[in-house]
Amino acid sequence: MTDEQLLRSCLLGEVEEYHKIVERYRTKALAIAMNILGNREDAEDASQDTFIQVYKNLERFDFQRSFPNWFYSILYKRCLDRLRKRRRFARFYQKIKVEPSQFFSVPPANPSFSLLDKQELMKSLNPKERISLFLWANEGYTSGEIAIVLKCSPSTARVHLFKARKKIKTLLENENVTL
Amino acid sequence: MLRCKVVTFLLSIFPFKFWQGFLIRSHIQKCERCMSRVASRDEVEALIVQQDDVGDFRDLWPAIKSGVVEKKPERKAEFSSYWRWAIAATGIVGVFLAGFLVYNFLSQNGTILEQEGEARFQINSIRVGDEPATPFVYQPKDSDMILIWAEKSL
Repeated sequence: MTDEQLLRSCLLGEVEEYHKIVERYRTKALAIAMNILGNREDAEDASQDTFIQVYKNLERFDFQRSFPNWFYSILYKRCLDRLRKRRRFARFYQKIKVEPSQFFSVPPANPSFSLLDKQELMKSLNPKERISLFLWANEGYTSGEIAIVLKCSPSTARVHLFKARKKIKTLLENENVTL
Repeated sequence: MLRCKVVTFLLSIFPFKFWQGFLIRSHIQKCERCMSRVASRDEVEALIVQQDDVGDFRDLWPAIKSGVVEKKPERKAEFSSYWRWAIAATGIVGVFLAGFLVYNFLSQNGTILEQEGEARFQINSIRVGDEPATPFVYQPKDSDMILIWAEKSL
């Protein structure tokens, strides 16, 4: 069944059909969220919130448009919410003079050196650059499609992508890392 | 080479996205030298967290299901239907009240007009065929009807 068919069933109240959509997109959602947020706990929460929000707003979805684009756009916003929340926590714990890192830097459940390494490198990018990179490299998105997800102009999306690629290249050259 | 340097310089001095996007589209994306200074797709793919890197994670479905079956939309519907009924009931009461007030107002005004009409009713002169005529006013007993007729003066 296509996404559209499943989503139309969901609109008729078939909640179980939504399980298939969740299964179809959950790994991808988690990968994107981990790229933006940098840790698994937050990524899982953001993905979960996204799936719930998507379901609750299905009536607003325009079936003429791409579902993945709409989904990624909501996921991106939920990730930004998480980042803001994390910053607020950081400020709060700084105020009470407690080391903030122990509260919000949750290591992955199954940490592997390469994954941590990747996450360290990705920290040099801002969220827009991270999601632009992911969509470009993994999904083959163009600047125009990235712009739809980020809700900005294609020109702006092109700049985000370019800056991200340039930063990565510089970092790789500085660190002398061969991928 | 010189052009690449000029473009890089122009890119760095004007931080406007539209301008930068234009330079990227018009030169950088087409220039091999410039593109060699940014990470390739392979390099990026190797760097970002891939779906395979995600591994096992908690089953999100139970929480999602309880979230979507929370009946928030239905609760919204209940809320809105409650308000719909309340607005409808208020509307009906309002219409009755307005009708009552309008009826009262018109009936009062009507009485005044009638009274004023009775008070002012008078016949100064009647002419029939351009000749003076004699008016007769007749009101039958126990009736509000008034008959007026004119008779030619002989």
